[in-house]
Amino acid sequence: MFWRRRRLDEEVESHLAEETADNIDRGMSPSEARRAALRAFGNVEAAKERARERHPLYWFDTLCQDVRFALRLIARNPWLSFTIVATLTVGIALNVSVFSLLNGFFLRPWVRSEPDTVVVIIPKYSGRYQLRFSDGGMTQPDYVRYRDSAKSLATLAAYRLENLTLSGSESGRIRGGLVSCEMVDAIRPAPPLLGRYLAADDCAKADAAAVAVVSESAWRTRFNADAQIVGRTILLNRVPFIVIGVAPSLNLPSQNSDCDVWVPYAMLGQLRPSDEYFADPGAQWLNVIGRRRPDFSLRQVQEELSMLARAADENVPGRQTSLIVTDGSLIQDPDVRGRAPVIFVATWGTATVLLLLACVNVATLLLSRSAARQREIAVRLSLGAGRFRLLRQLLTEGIVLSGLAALLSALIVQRGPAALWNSVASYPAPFDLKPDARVFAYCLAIALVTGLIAGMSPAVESLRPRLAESLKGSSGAVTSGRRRSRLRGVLVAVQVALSLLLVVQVALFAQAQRRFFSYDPGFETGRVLNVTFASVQSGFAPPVSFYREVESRVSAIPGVVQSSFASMAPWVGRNPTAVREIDGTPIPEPKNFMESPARRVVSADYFSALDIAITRGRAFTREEASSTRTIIPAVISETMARRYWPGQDPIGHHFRISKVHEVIGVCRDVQGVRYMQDDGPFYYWPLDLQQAKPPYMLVRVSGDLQGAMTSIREIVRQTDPQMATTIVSLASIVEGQGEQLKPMMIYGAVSGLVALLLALSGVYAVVSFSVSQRVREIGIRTALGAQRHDVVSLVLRSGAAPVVGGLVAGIGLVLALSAVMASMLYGVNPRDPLTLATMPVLLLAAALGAIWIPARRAAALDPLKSLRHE
Amino acid sequence: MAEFSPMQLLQGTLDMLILRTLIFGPRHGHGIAVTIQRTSDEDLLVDHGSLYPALQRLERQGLIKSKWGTSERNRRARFYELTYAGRKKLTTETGKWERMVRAIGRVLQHPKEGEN
Repeated sequence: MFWRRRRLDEEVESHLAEETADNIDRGMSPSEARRAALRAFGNVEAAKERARERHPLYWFDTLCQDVRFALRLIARNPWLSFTIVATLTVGIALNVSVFSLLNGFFLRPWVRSEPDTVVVIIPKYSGRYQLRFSDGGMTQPDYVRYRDSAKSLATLAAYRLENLTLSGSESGRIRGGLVSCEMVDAIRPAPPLLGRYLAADDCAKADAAAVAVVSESAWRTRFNADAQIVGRTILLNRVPFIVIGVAPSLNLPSQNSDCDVWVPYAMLGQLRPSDEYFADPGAQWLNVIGRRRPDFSLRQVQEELSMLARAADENVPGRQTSLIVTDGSLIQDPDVRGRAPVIFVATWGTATVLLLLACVNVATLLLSRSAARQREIAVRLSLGAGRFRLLRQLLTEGIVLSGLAALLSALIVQRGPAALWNSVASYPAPFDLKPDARVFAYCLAIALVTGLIAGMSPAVESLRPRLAESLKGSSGAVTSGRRRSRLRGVLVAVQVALSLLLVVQVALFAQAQRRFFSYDPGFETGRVLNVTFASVQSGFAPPVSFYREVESRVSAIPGVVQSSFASMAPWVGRNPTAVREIDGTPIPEPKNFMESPARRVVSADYFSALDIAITRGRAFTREEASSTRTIIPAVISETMARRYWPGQDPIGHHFRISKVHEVIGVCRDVQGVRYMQDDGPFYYWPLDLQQAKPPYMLVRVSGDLQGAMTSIREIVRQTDPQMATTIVSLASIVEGQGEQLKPMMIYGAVSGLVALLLALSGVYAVVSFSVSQRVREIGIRTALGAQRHDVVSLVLRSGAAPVVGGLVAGIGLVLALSAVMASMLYGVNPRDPLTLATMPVLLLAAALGAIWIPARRAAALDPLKSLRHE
Repeated sequence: MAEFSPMQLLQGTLDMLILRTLIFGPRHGHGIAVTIQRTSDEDLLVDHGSLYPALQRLERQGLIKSKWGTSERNRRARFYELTYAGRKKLTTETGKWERMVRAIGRVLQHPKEGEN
């Protein structure tokens, strides 16, 4: 466009030269000739401008003009521009970094190379057919069919997570991934550190090669980084495997599935002899992930696979298969979709509130600067500039500033998400933290919106000028000053409201954390150890004598108060059952399965081990635990007693699940299924150690916990050298869960602090500015007899008014958003009156402090100088 | 008379004059201005400057094209000439223009029709 401009200039100039030459021929002097030529031409610049307007890219020309002008303006006010760009950069960089984290976590599959071709298939089997084993996976024949027949898929792999027992190590439990050998093609992990990954040959045989790949972290922690590990044999669930490689990471792309070891999935039968899913064509046990061919879309894959599924259903009468094909990202996972939004909203919401705060803060700064440009704008308007054109120019200034901030943010965002993650988590992120195209598009959009918001207020203000007054340049003009100061007051109120929201959030989170850790679940946690035998995971049932011997030896340890067994340890899971009859009368099933009673099968000493009070009747005795009877005794919780025998003594009554139970005791309600959540109706019946499913062991200890743990571990090892145990105290489980609160706490605290600082600086800036505008007025008042404290109180009052308004609006915001916040606060009431009363007072005090400084400066002004101030 | 709106009339007049001027061969901007002034006895070109927006418009519409050349005074100038489309448009526009002039003439000759 520059050469077009020059071309037109040159053309017009030559036109004028021709006319001038003609005039000279007519006898005029050269200067007269030139003047006559100009007169004949008319308004040169106007003509050129009108000619230029015709061009389709004219708007781009003017945009460049605006940008150049904005840059000049920025250069002219270096400090102000620096503050603005810095504030915006903080807001934008934080927001985009948070979005980048969420993008990597939710919106992308956790596969590092080419994540857009990933395909995850989730089957839903329905209809009347024999359901064998299911936990939501795919059957093995179906997997093979899709893998071999689907043309739109480049590769398809299957996997299943299993907890395995590693013999010969202290803590037996090891996370295993049973994978098909296509997994390497599907996930394309980084090259192995030692040895190799699983290859096609390893899976080809039904009694496949017993080979294993170990992850780097497991290699370091379990095998002491043994350099000779490739070729060594390890025992998983007592089955020998040869280690063939060490990999940097064996992460399977779904939540919580960082594996320590990969083995071929055909080995399932040997690892878990009781669960022979591999041979059972009806068992639904596989998760499936693969890659589509680049020239096929996700929808085409879905269509092709659905066709194959329908064809397969014809061979299984009564079954209907529907497939969900996703791109592997968490947000498309049907299990996650319902829960995700809350976390998303909370994290991203806070970052966006902060960005909004930064925008408004910048808007106040720009407003102060635009007051100085009032005359310039008035001149432009009176010379005929269109309002829209001027508006566009003012907005461009805002966008240029936010554009600079966005450029800086784009640099920061390369490192930002990683820094955010490392500040709150101690292990490396399982998903890719690098920003992708979506993140940069978001950054651009944010920058645009930010620039518009920041530039809007000075733009709008500047376009409603009183031309006459502005041209006269009276900066103390009362009427336009009042309107402008009202806008400034609104901006201050907005900043105060937003920062109150974030500060209240910090206070609520702190309360939630305290509540979390001080919670009493109704049973003893600090002194109780949970012993998980490795046999629990591998389905291997040791003989009863093993448990009896362990129990007697553990009870003999000096610090042990009581040991007991339970089918399930606290906070591990829930076994809902359906009550069919009460005292012989059938009852209907409750609509909500959470209302049916859950059960735990426990030994006689369970109640004393966990210190659960029996309020009526008694607990069962040891003899009742091991005898077989037709009527089984049960201890029920108070809620269950109230539910089924309201107002009566339930002792002696009967209820039937599959067998008949007699109530022999009532115990206190506890929260043993989910932390901080009521168990609901609950019952316990006696544990028979002969049963197939191995129990957990719960031991109450007085005195040294660590010593007891070591002793118990040693006892187990002596009783059965192949058995490994995991021993933790119940309190440490709670602490472990509390660890997850830490990131939110830190993030909330930092946001609250930044918000507070921004709001206070905004208040300070506005009050300072308004004082500088009112210097003459203050001088007059002082001359008329006002004392220093009068001036101070004048400034305080006018400065505090928008702050108070903002606090009221902020309280309204908190109340409005309380429903969203309540779900994350562990029972703390978001409308807690104490918090809502104290936080605004604190904020007001801080704001008054920020106002007081310029107020004192105003009071210290020399009245003579003030009166002469322009 | 739905073919011309008042604005179009004014613009259209200048456009047509330019096209007409170029029928005798390529000219530069100054030459066009001088020709129009001369042939209309200075009635129809208020200032030379208003030529340039019109020239841009005509060029955008593809009715004329331009390139650099040398004027009689050996000065570099931009020369405009008619395109094929320009010639065609000139023919149709001239016809419309002549019909309109006749119609206006008829109206002006019978001013008292309505009064009878």
